Amino acid sequence: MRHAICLLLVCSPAFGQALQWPAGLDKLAAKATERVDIALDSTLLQVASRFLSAEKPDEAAVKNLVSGLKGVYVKVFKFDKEGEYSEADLEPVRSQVRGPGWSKIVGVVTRRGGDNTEVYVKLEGDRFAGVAIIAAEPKELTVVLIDGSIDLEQLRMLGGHFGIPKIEVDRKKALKTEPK
Amino acid sequence: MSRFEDLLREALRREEPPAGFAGRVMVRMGAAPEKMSRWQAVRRAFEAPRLRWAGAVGLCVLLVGVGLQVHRERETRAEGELAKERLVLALQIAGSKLGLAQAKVLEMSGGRSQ
Repeated sequence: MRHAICLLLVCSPAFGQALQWPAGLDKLAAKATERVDIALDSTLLQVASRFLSAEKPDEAAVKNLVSGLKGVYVKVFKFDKEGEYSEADLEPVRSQVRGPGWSKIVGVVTRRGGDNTEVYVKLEGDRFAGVAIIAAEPKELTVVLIDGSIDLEQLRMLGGHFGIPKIEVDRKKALKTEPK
Repeated sequence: MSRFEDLLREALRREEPPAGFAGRVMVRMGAAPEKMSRWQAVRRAFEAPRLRWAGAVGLCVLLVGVGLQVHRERETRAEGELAKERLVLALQIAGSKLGLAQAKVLEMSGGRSQ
């Protein structure tokens, strides 16, 4: 009986399913004044990895981090005014990370500033097999989906690498920044 | 056996050309024997119109092929560099947001402990 339950769990569509970008979020692009849209599947990750130097420490760290990844999807929407997106817009992302194997490890709600940050991880054995980050600020929404084996500490460290200060990412360098 | 060998020897016997053979051949060719360098020989070979055209077409095909290959390599490199930049930016954004979440958690737990 226990084996049958395990088999059902493993065979269920939500278990072990690759992360998919929720299409509903794209409608926010029309309201955004600035957006960053990065979608790298396993093929593109391999291509990118080939161009990362193993000799430069910064690039070597990224190369190492990327080796276990299957997909990296990042969307940043910047709005002129508050209230351009709702909780309902985030529901498709949250529903993906509610599946088996996923756990919410961070959920920070700041009533004063209206900033909400949620970090979800997918556990496979003793390693992280996926990360989802939702950073919702009044005028900015960031959603990150990373599919594959990842070291969170290494990822956090990359936030301040490549001459870019930690936390403040220069979005002008974004390749798909599209001013409205 | 010796009969067979004799026949073979007879058939493969070196025979000297009759006197004046080379001169007669040259007269019939209408050209005096001249010494040509290798480059001249190649040039001479391409003086025939058909060969000249074939050579030109071959050269064009080669140049187009090399050009396409160079273009393809440049495109692949550009795509790779673009993918690399996007990947680095994506990981920076993810890392910074993760750092921000950690900072908030630390800030809150620090505030609570005070």
